[in-house]
Amino acid sequence: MTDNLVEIEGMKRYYEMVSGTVKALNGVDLQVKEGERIILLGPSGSGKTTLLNCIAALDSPTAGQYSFAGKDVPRTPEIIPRWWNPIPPLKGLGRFNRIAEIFRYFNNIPLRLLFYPLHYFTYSKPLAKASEEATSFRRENIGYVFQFFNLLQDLTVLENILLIQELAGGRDENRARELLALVGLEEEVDRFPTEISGGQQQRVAIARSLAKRPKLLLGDELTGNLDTKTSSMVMEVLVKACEAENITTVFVTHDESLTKYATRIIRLDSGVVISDEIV
Amino acid sequence: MKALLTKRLFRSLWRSKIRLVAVVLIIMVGVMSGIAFGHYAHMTTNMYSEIYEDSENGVNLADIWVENPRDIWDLEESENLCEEISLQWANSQLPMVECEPRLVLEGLLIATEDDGSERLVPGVWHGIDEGDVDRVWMPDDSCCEGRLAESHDEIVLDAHVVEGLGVELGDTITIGAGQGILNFTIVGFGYHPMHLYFAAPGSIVPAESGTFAAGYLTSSGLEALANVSAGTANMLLIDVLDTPEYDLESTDEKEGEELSAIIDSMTITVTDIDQSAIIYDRSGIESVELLRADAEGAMKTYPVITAMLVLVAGITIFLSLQRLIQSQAREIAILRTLGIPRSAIMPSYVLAPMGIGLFGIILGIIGGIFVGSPAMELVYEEIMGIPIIGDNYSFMQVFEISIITMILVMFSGIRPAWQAANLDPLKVLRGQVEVKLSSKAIQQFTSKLPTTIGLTIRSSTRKPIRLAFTFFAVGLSMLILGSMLFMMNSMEDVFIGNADESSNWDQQAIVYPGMEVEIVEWAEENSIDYELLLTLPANPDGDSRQLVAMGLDVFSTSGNQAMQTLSLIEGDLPNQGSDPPEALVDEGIQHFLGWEVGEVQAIRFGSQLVEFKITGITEGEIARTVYFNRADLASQVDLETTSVFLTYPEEFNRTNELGDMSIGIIDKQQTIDAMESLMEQQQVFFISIQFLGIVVAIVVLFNTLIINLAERDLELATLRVLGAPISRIGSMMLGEHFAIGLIGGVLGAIFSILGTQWMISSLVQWSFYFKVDADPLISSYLVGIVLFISVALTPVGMWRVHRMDLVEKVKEFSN
Repeated sequence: MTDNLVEIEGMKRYYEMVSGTVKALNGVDLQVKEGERIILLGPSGSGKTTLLNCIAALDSPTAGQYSFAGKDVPRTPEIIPRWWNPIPPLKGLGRFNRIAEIFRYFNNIPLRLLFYPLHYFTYSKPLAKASEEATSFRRENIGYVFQFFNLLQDLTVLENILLIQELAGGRDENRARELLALVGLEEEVDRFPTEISGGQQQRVAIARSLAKRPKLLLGDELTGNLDTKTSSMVMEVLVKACEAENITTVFVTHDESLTKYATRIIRLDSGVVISDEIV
Repeated sequence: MKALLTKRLFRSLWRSKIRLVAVVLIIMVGVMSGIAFGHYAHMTTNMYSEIYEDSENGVNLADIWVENPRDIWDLEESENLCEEISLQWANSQLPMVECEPRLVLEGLLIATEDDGSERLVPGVWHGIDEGDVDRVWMPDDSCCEGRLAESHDEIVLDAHVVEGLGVELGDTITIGAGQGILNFTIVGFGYHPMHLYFAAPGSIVPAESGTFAAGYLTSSGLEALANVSAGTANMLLIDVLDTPEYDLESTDEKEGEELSAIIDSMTITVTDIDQSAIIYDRSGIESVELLRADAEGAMKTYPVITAMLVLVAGITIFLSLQRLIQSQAREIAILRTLGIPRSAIMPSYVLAPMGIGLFGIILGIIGGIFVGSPAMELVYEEIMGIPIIGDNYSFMQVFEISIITMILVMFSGIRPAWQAANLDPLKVLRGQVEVKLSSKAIQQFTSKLPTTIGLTIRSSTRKPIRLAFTFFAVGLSMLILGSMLFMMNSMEDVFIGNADESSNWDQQAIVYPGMEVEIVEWAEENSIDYELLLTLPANPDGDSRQLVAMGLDVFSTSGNQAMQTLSLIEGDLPNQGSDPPEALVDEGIQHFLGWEVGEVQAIRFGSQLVEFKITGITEGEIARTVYFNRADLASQVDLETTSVFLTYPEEFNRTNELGDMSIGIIDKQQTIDAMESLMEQQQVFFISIQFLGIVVAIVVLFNTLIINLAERDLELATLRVLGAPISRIGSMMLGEHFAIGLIGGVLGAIFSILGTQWMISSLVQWSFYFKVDADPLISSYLVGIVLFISVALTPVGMWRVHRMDLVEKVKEFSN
């Protein structure tokens, strides 16, 4: 038993594309201790978002080990079984390829219907189960802040937080109000997202992500849509909130200026960690 | 460039295949149904005019009938009547071509069952020979064979009866009329223009094969059977040049004014000679009128049904395209930013629905011609029992339906196309157009509710216009389904309920004046309950339409005090011996003539006018009826009885005795069986229409609910990333679908009730009146169906969320 919150060993994530195999992560080893504030840096295509998605169990690694608080993180099967596409893609038909594809598509329908029970019990059902396990994992452990805030426009600031609490199984309005006070928005509780600024929206998103007391908060370019001044304000609020709640954070960014808020900076390139520096 | 943009749009459409298939399906259903119903309408109209064509090809039909309902005319009397009619013919553009005396008698056919027992089948026998004014029709079809009767012991049996009786050419059958019974050899099977719609006299329900018979004999054959002198007749068939217009019962207009003038003048001439004679035009022949009404009804309803379906298709396309544009707003904005002009964007969005429409229309045409139309022909042949003749395909009609559908489809795409071309790129790229909030009132109303419920309600009501369109389209589809259910239910109530629950008799024996004495004696000897009945045709004064005047001995509205109970909806039962006599009228008479309780009105029996006071209104009658106390009516018309109701004791063994004492027998159970059989025959047709309604409702709801979900992809994905379990999301969807289903169902049921009542009110006519009641069970069923469809689509939505690629969605969030 280690005191690491996150333990990743030899994580690989390959994508099969028409142009060939893309190695988004190619053997990443990472240990995250509780209370750390990690910033992942790297150029486009370096694999930082993929790593974040794998940590959040949104994506499943192709290979490697990943445990969270000492437990294996659920992952979803990726390969669609052979019987689901009984007629293989047709090749070498030149300009008639598209017609052949349409033909194959419709011809697969009766065969898919035939194989459906097998497909359901051996693939769909386990996939759905694994997917729900991954969702539960996120609900219990992970907070997520998006670049574009993604607040529900039809709910007030307060309701956006209450919704997440209700979905997680425990509405607590006092805590929601406390969190909004923590991010400096106690005056805006009854406003709708369209009625507040981008910076304020991101602060609501932070409060929302903290609403269910996650162990780990993830953020993907969370200041990418904000100006420098607002970015600083948001990051300060975030650091303050995470310290107050004792929450570990991992943020992905292009912005080197945000490194001042980190306790650890990890740089990725071509799917591997090229530097790991404690600040 | 335009070609590329169009290609891009079609690729986008292909990405939402399920919705695309739904839209194509609904267009196909609309066109297919339009073609099938249109084919039925044209087929019935063409059949009507071709069969009754006044030429060598058609069987023709008299234009005026002079009937002696109480007695017969001998040769001299009938010739005298024809001569007087000819001499006194009104000064008109319509000359008389022929006046043909005819003997037509009601009687019985003695059918032998497989076990050797005998069964009495009521029938009508025509002494027709070759026929001048009308003829026996033997179309070139498997239904008919043989030749016309040439000698006095030969008969052509109506082709409707063949299957039920299991007879063949050359067989001998025994028939009776009056007191006579004779054997006849079957020499042919054919139809007669007055019995194409094959129902027993006084009934509008097609008779089940073998329960009613019609035969066409030589004049001498029928005279021998009835034991009357040569040249005896009880009907004059008068043919007027060509086929003049006559006053239709279904309209308030006076269509055949010239023919009406002739009938008025002829009434004076004829009733001078015979007071009891009644004169009528084609509207007085129920069989002919029902065929015409069927054709007219089909012609009226098919454009309505087609328009409804095409409208639903239009709404579906409109909503789908709006969603498509919404989902492509960013792409369009980028294209506009890159300098693509509006004029280049708009055509693709106009072409897209036309492309989809064209595909749906082609499928609809194929389905309509090869599936729908033959199915309608089959229904017609099954119910009417007559073969389809002639080439009834109207390619002009197919063309019209296709063009109208295409225009509607094109129009449904114009507004979305305009919206697409006029999107403000700046607003789109700032994300401002995507934000569509629910109304302040809804926000306020839901603020006190749990957030999940509040969000569900707010999300559902974000697009009130879409929701309104959806409810309207669901309402239309429920109208298709509901109208069938309400009509079936009402018809069942009227037909079977009337025959079963209101009739406390087993058999009704039709008699000539005086014959009832023997039946009464026989009934008393055998402890059979009986009740005398007097039934006569009549006309409202100053109106050529026929009604039935019925004289009852006992009036009752419940239980089994009377042989025939009535359903009184207004007023009181009539007292006997009042002056003027008191009577009840049915609600159809009230509807068409506006007669009310307390008024004194008059009806005419031939030339004799009878005034009466209306004391009440009854419901449930298909034919227009006035109920008198029998004694009151008998004193007015100088006739005692025309039939006897009989209720047998449980162990009573029925024999042919009654047949010997009467000229015809109506068996209650056979009537009910015939009605049930008719209902059964129409089941397939009704079920098909119901299926159509349900399919349309599914497509419409599916389309809207999927659009609703697709629009909320971002919300749902956010919730999933933040850890919302599928069960909670499913509960939210279920709540939304339940609410939409419930509201849609209630609105659909209301729409359906009002629409059906409107449809029925525009289709009912003098000879065929019934109203539709809002049966709570059917209304609940309609609400239940919409609710079920809506709720059943929840798993589709959950499946959609399940297979959502959250990695891709997160990428979208970051772009």
